[in-house]
Amino acid sequence: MIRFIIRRFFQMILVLFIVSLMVFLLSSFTGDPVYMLLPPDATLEEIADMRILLGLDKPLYVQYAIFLQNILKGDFGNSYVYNKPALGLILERMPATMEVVAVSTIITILIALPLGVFAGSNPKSTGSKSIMFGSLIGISLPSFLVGMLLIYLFSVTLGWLPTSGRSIPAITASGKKTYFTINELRHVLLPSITLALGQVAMLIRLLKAGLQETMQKDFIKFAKSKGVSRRNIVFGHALRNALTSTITVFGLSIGDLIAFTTITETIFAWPGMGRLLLTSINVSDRPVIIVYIMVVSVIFVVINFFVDILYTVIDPRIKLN
Amino acid sequence: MQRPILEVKNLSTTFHTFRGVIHAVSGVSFHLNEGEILGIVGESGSGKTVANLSLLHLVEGGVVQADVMRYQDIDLSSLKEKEMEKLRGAEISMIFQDPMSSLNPLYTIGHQIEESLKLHTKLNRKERRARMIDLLSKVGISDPESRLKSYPFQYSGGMRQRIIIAIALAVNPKIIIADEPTTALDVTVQAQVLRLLTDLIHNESRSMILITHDLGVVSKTTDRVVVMYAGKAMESGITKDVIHEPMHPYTDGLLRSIPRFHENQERLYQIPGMVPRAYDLPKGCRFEPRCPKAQPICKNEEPPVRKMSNGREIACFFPISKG
Ligand SMILES: Nc1ncnc2c1ncn2[C@@H]1O[C@H](COP(=O)(O)OP(=O)(O)OP(=O)(O)O)[C@@H](O)[C@H]1O
Ligand SMILES: [Mg+2]
Repeated sequence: MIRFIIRRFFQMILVLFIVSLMVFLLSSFTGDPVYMLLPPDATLEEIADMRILLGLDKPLYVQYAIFLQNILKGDFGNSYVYNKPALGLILERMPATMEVVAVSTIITILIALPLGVFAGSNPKSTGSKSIMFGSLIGISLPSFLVGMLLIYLFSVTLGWLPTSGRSIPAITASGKKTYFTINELRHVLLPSITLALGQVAMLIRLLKAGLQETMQKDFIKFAKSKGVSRRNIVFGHALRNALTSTITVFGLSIGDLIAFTTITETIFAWPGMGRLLLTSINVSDRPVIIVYIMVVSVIFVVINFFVDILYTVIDPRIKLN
Repeated sequence: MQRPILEVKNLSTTFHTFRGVIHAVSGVSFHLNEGEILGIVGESGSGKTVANLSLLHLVEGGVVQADVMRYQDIDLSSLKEKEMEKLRGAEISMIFQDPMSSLNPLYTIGHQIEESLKLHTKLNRKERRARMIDLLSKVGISDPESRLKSYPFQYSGGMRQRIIIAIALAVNPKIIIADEPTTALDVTVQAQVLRLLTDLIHNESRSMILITHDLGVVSKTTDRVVVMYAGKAMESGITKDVIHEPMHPYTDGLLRSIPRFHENQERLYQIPGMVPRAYDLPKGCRFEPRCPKAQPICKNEEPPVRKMSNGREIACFFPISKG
């Protein structure tokens, strides 16, 4: 186990190194931050000064070497726009993103697990067919459309939920910080549902396919011949086998969700890191973009780590090494 | 004579598929006497598996009909699913062909044996454990106590089939239906496992239906035999009679296509032609297109089942006569 963790740690360092290099190269070919930061009527001299200030006058490999050196010192560079550490900017906004992703994942599991299990264990029923049809729609709907429809329905027409924003961190009258409140739940609900829709559809399809395949297996037939009831066949024998094929894909899709909440966060004015990414791309705020992508890579590696651990819990044939 | 423990009359199982109706089993009758081993032989696709799954309501998506389908005093065709669950594994258990895939890969051996005991007995934990250890040693697994905690993937095919036999016997069922229990095993292991199985049947006076392709196995282990072809029973009777004096041309063809080491065969006999496809069966006798003795009537009419002496039954207009 410890060896596994250490191996994973080094793997993560390697991934980060490669990612930083790729992102660094890509971002230096796209958009010049100098023009974004200076007014349109800036003189050539001002432009040159700005380049020197940002270190952009040096050759690329020198820029990268400096960048790496700084990273090793724990300095990920300052945002050109905010003139604050880029890592801090991102970490500050991460809880908001994590919150909406967590709520949407809970919603996803609560909805998709029962529906997927039903569809997979009764694949020929009309119920299953309508679930699968619905999931097809869920997969095809773009999130900006879903988000706007939800706002229109629940906020504008019915007035039940706020249209945008987040209520945490709020300071109460006594000066205490509040944590998760009902009010916050009201705020997080619509963006979470927007994010969850595609996830629900995908998880249903994964579960259904996995379960339907497992139900054809010989060991299911043998378990039936032992007198195991249909319910226990599905929940005791088939579901666990179906989960082995499901959790990898689902785990990675949660990573996707964290990385690409941009659209949903923008629609709902959600103060998360996705929205920060979008504005940073607009103004070529290179340090923020690079650190963002590195943070996301770490998240992917961590998720993968947990998926692998979960795997060994579910499937005794898989050893961590 | 005693009443058979299991009796099936005129069993038909059909599947409605997009290619048409598949008559996997059409009007098959057989019975199993207490304490005997009944062999069911036939080429691949003849309906052996489907016929037996039909008894336990385990055919998925098929329609099962029968005049009689009786186990002891229980009418199997009218059993509700809940009642059938109580019967499966407790009164009649099954062993399938492929031991590599018959066990759930994610659960321990102990868990999978115990599952049957929990379902069908009132034994407490300690008693269940004792019973499991007893079962495993009975099927020839050494050090059974520590084996309970191991997983199927840690065993070879032969060992797994022994474990499967232990599971099938766990609750002392009266009947075992073994569907080609040794086909997937190494030749050297086949004989051992078959021996174990037949010993367990005889010593504890159970009854068994043994499904197989192998007429050698039939002649060595079974008391009576049913020969199936394309969903029909062609011939049935006491194994010795059928093997020594086959009356149906199909049985004769099957017997002649067994390689014999002690005889100097120039070329192995082969029944000409192919098994008809299940959704496109001949109108008359199903064996007619391949039969060396076929006459015009065989093409147009299905031969009725004729009862002969010594419990022999045969579905053929022109059976092979003695001499
Ligand atoms: N679920 C099903 N749907 C449609 N057709 C089926 C189904 N199960 C079996 N059949 C068909 O029924 C026929 C009989 O199959 P069965 O498995 O009983 O043959 P078998 O005698 O056991 O053959 P084998 O020796 O290969 O095991 C075959 O033609 C098969 O294709
Ligand atoms: Mg079969």
